[in-house]
Formats: sequence, C-alpha cells, structure tokens
Amino acid sequence: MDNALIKIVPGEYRNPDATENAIKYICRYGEKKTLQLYLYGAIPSPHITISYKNILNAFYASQNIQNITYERNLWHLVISFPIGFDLMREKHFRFINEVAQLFSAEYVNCFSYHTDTDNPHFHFIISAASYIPNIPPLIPQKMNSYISQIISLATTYGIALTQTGEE
Amino acid sequence: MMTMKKQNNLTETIKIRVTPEEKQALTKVAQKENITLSSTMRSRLFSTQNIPEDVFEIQRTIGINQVYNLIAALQLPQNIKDTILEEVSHLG
Repeated sequence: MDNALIKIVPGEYRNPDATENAIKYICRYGEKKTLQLYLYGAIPSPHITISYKNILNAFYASQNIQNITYERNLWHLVISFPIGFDLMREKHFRFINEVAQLFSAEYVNCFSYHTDTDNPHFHFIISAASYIPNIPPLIPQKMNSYISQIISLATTYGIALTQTGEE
Repeated sequence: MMTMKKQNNLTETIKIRVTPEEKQALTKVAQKENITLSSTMRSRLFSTQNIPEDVFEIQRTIGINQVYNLIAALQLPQNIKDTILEEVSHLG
C-alpha cells in the first residue's frame, strides 16, 4: 500500500478574483514554464487548447448559471505522494484523473501536476458552484463526503490516503 | 396457438421477483410503449437513449474531457497538440 496525503487548502476564496488567482497559481501562470492544466466538467470554448483563460471561463459559466450565490467561489485541494518522482507510476496518475472525474459529475474542476517540491503533488481547483442548474453549491459537508469517497477510491488503487490540515 | 421462441447463445434468461405494485408499474410503461416487460426493463437499464438528457450530457462531457486531457498530457510540442485538439474538436 502506498501512502498519500489529501489536504483542503485553508481559505474561503470569496474575492471576485479568487478563481482567477487560484487557477493562475496552480498552473504557475506568468512564470518561466506554465504547467499543463487538465479540465473536467466543461468543454472549453472555443474548444481547442485547454488554456488557463478558457478554463476560467468554464468556472465563471458555472457561477453564473446558479440563481443563488454562495460566498465561496472554489475549493483548493492538494494530493501529495511522499515518494520520489521516479516512483510515480501510471496508477497514481489514473487515481488523480479519477478524482477529477468524481467531482466533474456536478462541479467543474481542473488540476495540475507540481514537481517543484521534494514530493510529487497535484493541485485541484473545484468550483463551488455546480454547472448544473439547481444543484446545491459545494458546501463543507458535501466536500467532506467527497473526501470520504476519494479515500475509498484511493484504496482501490492500493493507496492509503490520509486527510491532513483540515479546515 | 403455440409460438416458438428464438434461442441463441447471446442472451441468457434470468428470473426476477417483483411486488404487484412494481409489476403494475412495469406493465403500464410496457403498454404505453407497446413493448414487452422484458424489453421495458432492458431498455431502462441498458439503453443510452433512455438516460436523462443532462446525465447523457455529463457523460459526453467527461468523455471529451478524457480525450482532451490525454492529448494535453502527451509529450509533444504545444503547436502539434493544438493541431490535434483542433482536429478532434471537429469530431464533436
């Protein structure tokens, strides 16, 4: 069994520019090498390059589709593997991909792979507003339910996922 | 009159037990659609045409996302990836 950690990055991301800043942060926008973003839950429009800008538009579209406003714009999760980069296997990436798909049934999300620390880790930005009309926002209780599902999912990949740094 | 049922190796017969209310509901749908009880259950379970439109759209989006993300993850120059994505986008 491999070990991994999942963390909800603290913060309520209420600022109007929170989504833009968070997506820019995880793809290292403006830095020497921008990281690849992977999108789930929306088809980028114009649907060619998965750029930070059309991902941002997908998030804004979700926020605009809902009649009610929720103070939180997004959730920021990190899943890290306390192993060397040479030990990253296909199963780790498949697991991450499936985590994104899990949220995508209701919420637009994107993720990127970071290799700038000692351990490989993935940042997820998940819209708190669903892209489906009248689906409730991603409130903390629902996020906790998703975390439980992710922990169960991890076991199917032989990964023991532990939550750390809860809000 | 005796009717012969076609037998083949591609299907298998299973028996299920339902309540009278469930049978009544199934019969109602079957009559409405002018199909058998068996077809009613099979179409509800396995036919994509009976998936609610929003669920179908979600599944379609996830499928397209998978393809786009896979292409994005390839170790290729960005302009080549863009070309492939553009071509793929025409496939709908």
